[in-house]
Amino acid sequence: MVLFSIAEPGQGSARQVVRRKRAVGIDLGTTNSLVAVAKEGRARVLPDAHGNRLLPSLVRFFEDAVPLVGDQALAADGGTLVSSSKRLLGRGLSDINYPLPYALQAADDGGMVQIRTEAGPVSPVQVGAEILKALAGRAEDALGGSIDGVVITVPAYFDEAQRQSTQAAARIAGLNVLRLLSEPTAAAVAYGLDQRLTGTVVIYDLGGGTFDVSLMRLDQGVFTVVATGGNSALGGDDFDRVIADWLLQESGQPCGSKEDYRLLLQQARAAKHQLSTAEQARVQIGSWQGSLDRAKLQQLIDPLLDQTLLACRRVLRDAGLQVGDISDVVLVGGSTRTPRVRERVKQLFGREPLSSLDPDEVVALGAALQADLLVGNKYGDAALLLDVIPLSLGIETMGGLMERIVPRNSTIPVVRAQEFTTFKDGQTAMSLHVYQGERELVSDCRSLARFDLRGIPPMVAGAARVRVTFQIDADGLLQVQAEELTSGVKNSVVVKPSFGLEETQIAAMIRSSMESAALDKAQRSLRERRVEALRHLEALHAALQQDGATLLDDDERSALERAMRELDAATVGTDARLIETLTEQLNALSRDFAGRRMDAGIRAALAGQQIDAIGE
Amino acid sequence: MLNYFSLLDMPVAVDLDRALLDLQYREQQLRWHPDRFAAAPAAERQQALQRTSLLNDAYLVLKTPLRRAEHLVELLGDGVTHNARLPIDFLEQQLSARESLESAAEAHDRQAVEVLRKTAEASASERWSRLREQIAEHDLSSARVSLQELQFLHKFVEEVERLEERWLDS
Repeated sequence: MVLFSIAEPGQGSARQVVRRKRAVGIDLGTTNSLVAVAKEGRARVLPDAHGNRLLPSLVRFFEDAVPLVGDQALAADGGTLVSSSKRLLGRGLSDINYPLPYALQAADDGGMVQIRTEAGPVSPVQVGAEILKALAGRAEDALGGSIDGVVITVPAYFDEAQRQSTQAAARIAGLNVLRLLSEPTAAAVAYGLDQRLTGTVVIYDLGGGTFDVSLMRLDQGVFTVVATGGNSALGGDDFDRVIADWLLQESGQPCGSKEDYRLLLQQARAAKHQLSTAEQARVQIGSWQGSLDRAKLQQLIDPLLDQTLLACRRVLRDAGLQVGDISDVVLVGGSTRTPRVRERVKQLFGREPLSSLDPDEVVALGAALQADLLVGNKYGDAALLLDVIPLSLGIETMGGLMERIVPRNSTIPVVRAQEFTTFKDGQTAMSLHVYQGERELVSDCRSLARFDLRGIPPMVAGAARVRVTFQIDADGLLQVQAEELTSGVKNSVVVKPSFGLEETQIAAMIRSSMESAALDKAQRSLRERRVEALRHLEALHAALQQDGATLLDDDERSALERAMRELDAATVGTDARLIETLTEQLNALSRDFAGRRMDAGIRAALAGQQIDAIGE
Repeated sequence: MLNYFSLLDMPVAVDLDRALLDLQYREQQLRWHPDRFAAAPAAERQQALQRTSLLNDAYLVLKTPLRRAEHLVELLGDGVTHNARLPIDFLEQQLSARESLESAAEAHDRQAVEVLRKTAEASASERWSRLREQIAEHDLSSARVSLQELQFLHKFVEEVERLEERWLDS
């Protein structure tokens, strides 16, 4: 029992108040994005002011105004509406072999593809940054202050270029990234922490644009990714596309423009959603009327689902496990709402898949839980995530062969070294070309980076010993170092993917983002002043009509009307300061009038009361 | 050279308790993972990164029986790696097994492939018993021969599995 508590002088209360750090999890999705926050092991999604939880991953760019994001982008007209930009992250023009409702162009340096918008060419990274800014703003409003750190989720199958592009987007949005987390891993964290699931779990994640499958062991607060697989260009959008193509073929209607195709895709999506509950969906295209039933939908999407199930089997094999070793299957991603998806997954694993957490929200919830842990808000059981790299990393050797240095599904962080040698007498430099992928020939793998090791002292062929070290940190980001061991000559690079962005490009985007933030603020304040001025003018108009003749003399009235005309004219312009000044001036002029109206009102009210009182 | 057994607090032996290994690995990861040092100075974070990278390597080696045995023999031989000379009759056996596998693959003869797999597996398990004795008697040069033979057999079985997977997928 404590009888006395003695505190150091000047310390006051022995308890010190430490501000809880604000960290959020962000699911930056192809179709929708979300932000969530966790406290003491429970996570919740943060809605916007209207109660919407999902933010459509849409940005509308204008020639002379700040971009609009989400529902606002959808509701607005004009400009260029950019959707599904996540599929373009870290990709070159030649990688995009499917139709999009907007035009693309190659970057000047042949790097990441750019989107043609009314605001000029825009990188997919900037689109991502706009969405992240909107989500961070939502979180700041809900939590009442700036965000200390974020965990952003990426598909497990995202390669180096795609991961780095995601990080760049966060930097442009001014966010401190605590960790990039694989989406299925995040979902497993949500089920492991929130639902206390244990054992070996398959996470089947079919989103709008990507498919991921992961095998995880959930065990006493340690979550280990055993193996991952999937396809970074397969998702619910492809369902829409096969449905749209079928509708086109059935209806025999021409599809001339990109806009036509976009509308067709919308109809295809609506029909797909209807079939989640109904047996049949009616579709009308121009004068053509038809219907799509579940059996037809099945026939259309089964080939796509076959691909996902093949990936599931491959992951099981990679982990050396059988279907019988699996204790649970978790469904993630909006596309798993399609009943046929559940059915096929159930067939393969012989058990009913779990979906007790909303498949659209589970990833953001897991990210929030991990963000809360990483930022240092500790509670209860320690949870730890051990993730793997999704694709093998290696370098090109003689004859264009891929020499794997870190095989896929290696637990990260990981450091691996391998020795190479010179093949010519007197060779003083060595060119190292880093690749990512599973194929034997580098031409079938993805080029990540290329750098040179120079200054090797001349020796006979095969005498030099060059040690190449790959270091992958807990975010899955790669650093490569090469050292000639006999002379100690060294060179290293933090890998900049060929379809990534240069540091200078990122810096320029951060600058322009800050400028546009200032512009954004100015535009908002102009809008607010205008609204206030117009409200004021309207009220005065009404008041003048009612009491102008009785309460004001002619001079007073004309002065007031002149000030109103001036303010009215100013609201059409863009000078917020002028509107503010004129509003104040009008306020001053009308104060007397307002006072007299109030007096008259009170008199009338009192008079009324007296009459009433007499009447009683 | 680095002793992976002591890094994970495991007894130095050919066979080990897998549950204990998993437990030790988990304990060490909980202590050293970079996530535990997210707010620490850069030097400590780097140390955590290196330490966990080592742990991951050690765990991978120790949980894979053949790689564990190789590591053990290397440790016992003070890190010296010799290329053992394999008996000629073993190499001849391997060559003919490979030829049989190729023709069985072409003929899609699943039964013949299964027989080849069983033979290789039996041969491997015989060498595992030999290897345990050789290590107990500290006969490192014989142990290296057994290890290399096991590598051959292991690769052969892997090839059979790949073939069977291809049949499964198609």
